[in-house]
Amino acid sequence: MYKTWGDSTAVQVFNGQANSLNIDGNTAGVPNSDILRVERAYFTWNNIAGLPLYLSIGRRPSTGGPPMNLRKGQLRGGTPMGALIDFQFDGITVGYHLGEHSTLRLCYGRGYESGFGNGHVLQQPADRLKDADFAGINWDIWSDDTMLVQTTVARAFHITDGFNGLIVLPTNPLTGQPVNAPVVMRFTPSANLGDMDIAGLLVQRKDGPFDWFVTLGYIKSHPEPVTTPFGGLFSDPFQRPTSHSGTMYYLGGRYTFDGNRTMGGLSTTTVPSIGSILPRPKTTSLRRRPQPGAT
Amino acid sequence: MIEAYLMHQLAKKFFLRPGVVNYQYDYSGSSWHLGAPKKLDAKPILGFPTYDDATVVTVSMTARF
Repeated sequence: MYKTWGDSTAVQVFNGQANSLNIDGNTAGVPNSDILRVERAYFTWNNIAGLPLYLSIGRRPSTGGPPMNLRKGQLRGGTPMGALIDFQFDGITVGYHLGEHSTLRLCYGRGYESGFGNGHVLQQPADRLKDADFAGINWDIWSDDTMLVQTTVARAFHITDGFNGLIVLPTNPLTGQPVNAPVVMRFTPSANLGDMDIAGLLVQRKDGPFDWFVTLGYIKSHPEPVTTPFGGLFSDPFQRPTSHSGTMYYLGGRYTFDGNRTMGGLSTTTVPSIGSILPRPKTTSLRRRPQPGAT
Repeated sequence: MIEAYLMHQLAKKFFLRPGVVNYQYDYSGSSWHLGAPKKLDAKPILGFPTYDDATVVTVSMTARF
């Protein structure tokens, strides 16, 4: 249960930030209501065929990954690098223990399910969306009590212009005019915008009482020539999307003192913006999709 | 973004954590993949609230069991 003090409305007025959206990826992570929710539920089949191989399926442990757990004084809570992926999803991991201190994982997850519940049989085949999925690698290159070196590399396919969820819009995003009644609507995406790559490297160490980490991240978009009234992939409405890339770093430290009873931490991150504009070599006609709406 | 915090164990399973996070934005669209990022003083005016500076102060008390 994660609720606002004195409120259980469960659907918030959109404030321009992701914390006022209720979608599959963050239902347990943003203030909602007094409803009990399940953030993760999965099974793991270990030692398949006598090998250091495992299979894990379900609602993944994909939030609270390193180094984000340090700031809460908690153990590692998720598999992927937390600075890159901190999002609930349903997926599959196949892992192989390369040694006592190294585990390689192939991961798959679904971000948007286009079939069940979306009324797609009522749409023309050309208007039906593709599922949004991702696939990637989570590799603990070295993991022991004092050091973690990890890389996460993934590509998301057929990213949509939103996710299914409930929302209250204060203004009409097309006209800018206020919406006078707080209407709860089921938002659903209207277009597949393209693919996106993410990659990162984390070095995290514990040197005596001092924990520290350095994280580097990279992102690159591969847009389809699709635009919507809200824009395309990192592009404005009705403009031809082009490929963009960006980098970020996140570093910090935490000092433990007072007989392990007190920890003080400091961290900082900078995202220099999605800046580098790389023309997409393929050029096709620009497709425009209708306004996302309620179903 | 810059964050500072202090975490203190008040009892065996009870923790107090004051913390502060400051965000400074130069561009719109942080966390979003729709729309082109724009300098916050760009025209036209953005459709939804976009902050240029935000500070979050929290005091958390955590019981673990």
